[in-house]
Amino acid sequence: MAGLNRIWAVAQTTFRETIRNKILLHMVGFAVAMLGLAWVVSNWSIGEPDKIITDLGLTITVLIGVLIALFAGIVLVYGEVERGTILPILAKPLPRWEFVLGKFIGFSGAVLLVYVGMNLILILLLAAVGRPITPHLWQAMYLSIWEIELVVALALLFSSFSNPSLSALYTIMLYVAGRFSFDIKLFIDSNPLAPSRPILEVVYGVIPHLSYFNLRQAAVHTLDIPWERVVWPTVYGVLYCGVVLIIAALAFRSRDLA
Amino acid sequence: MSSPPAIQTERLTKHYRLGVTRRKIEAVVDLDLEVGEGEIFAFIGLNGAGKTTTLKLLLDHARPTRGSAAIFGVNCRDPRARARVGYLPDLPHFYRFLTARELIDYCGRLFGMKRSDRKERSRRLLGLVGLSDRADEPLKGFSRGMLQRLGLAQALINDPVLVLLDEPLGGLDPIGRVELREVISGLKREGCTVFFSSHILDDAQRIADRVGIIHRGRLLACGSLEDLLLKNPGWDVELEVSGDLDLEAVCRRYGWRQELSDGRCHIVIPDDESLKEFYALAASGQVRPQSIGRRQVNLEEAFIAELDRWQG
Repeated sequence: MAGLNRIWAVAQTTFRETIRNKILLHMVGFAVAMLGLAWVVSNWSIGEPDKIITDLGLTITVLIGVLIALFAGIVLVYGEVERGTILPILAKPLPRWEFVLGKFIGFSGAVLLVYVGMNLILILLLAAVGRPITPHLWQAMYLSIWEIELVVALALLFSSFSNPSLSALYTIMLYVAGRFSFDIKLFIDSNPLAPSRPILEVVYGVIPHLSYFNLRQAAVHTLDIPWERVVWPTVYGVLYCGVVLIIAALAFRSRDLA
Repeated sequence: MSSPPAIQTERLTKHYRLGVTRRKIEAVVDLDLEVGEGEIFAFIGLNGAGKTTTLKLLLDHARPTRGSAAIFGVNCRDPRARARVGYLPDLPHFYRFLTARELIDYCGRLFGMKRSDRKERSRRLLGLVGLSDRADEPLKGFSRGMLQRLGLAQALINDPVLVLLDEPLGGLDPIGRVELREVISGLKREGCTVFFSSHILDDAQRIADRVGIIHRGRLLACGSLEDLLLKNPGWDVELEVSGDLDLEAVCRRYGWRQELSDGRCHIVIPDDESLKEFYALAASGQVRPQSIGRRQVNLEEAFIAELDRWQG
């Protein structure tokens, strides 16, 4: 129980600290501007402007969410070590894994709040152009949260032992590879005798399968989404984040705070 | 059964590897240290001597290369060792967007304190460090001295029995230093053990019960302040010199120090062996001693003497 209270304290403080940072506000402003641009573009297009707004809007919100997760996430632990804000905190009876978990929860909460805010604006925009708000939309938005959470976890992992430049590089590489995970799988399945197959299988096993979380096209065209298409990616997202956080905690446990 | 010491280290060693060549830096070497309950212990040394690294090892901010450290008998690697410890880092930095009150409350929560206790204690501590009227302002507007005061407040939130202070007097103005010395003395009166690192030796001499001198990671001397000051007090000799004697050259040859005080010539003779050499010189008639007395050294002189002895 004491451990949970400490984790919650770290999470709340991280949330406050992130939310009060003006950079986040600028990112939200940027997102609003991009959504406005999506609306303008949809007016210029021929036919079904609501679909264009839905497609562009869902893509913009998730991309902004990923950008925030990436650029704020890579300094989450590193920044604390560099500035020395971590020293008085880890001088308390706080195990390092609790600190890592608390940072993840708090930062995820802040990113989630921004993401939800951006999506509310998108929904208002869709309502304004007469697009019905169907469950497909909610499902697509929900699964995108896991895409962002995976980026938060990966950025936090690299931040716990590496500098921001390298952390950004590693996270972006995994994110891009993760977006193409289905193509890698397709290549493995269609080339069973390829010499690179064992390596690609390892790569496929390690990278985050971000395609699992992409329901945006189904939302745009209001295609049927079976329940397991939402549940299994959720389970995958929870497990992937869990494993990444365990590795982050182990990496951070043995680090000297110079 | 006697209670374990507040701090105990055994052959505590920390090496760092730096740069592309992985050059080895011996930050702390075979440190055997014991700090008793209720004492004020000053850990003094030059910049880069290993003071901060020792504190980091005590707080598990860094892993020892070998050896061990314990706080009240609990190994420092165990987070429970820090349950009744307060810590003020050198040049404290805190979350820029939190207020002073929020920061103190956060620290209290990490110790598992109840909300009512946190509220009451943070109010009292912010008053103690003179930040009551700035309690609800974001820390990004705080000066270095204010952050130092706030750092002290957060270090005391859990009513600690051991307080570790890393260069606590460094960032403070003269009034702040006096106030902090009073706070430290007050902690001792309440039975708290205080371990602080410093290179401001005057302050250390004023408040410490025991002193440890660290240089290049090695503990050169450790003991009560009195013992350290009396270890090699030396002799203060006021003298007249015959016209043709080059006193400066004589001092250089024997390792004495020449001083001019009130227009009179004084020499400082470091130990009894050197005093015998002085008597021989006096017997030759080249110098005429006017007075010879035991010299009261301060911590700075004792510190320099220890460093000189170490350097051979």
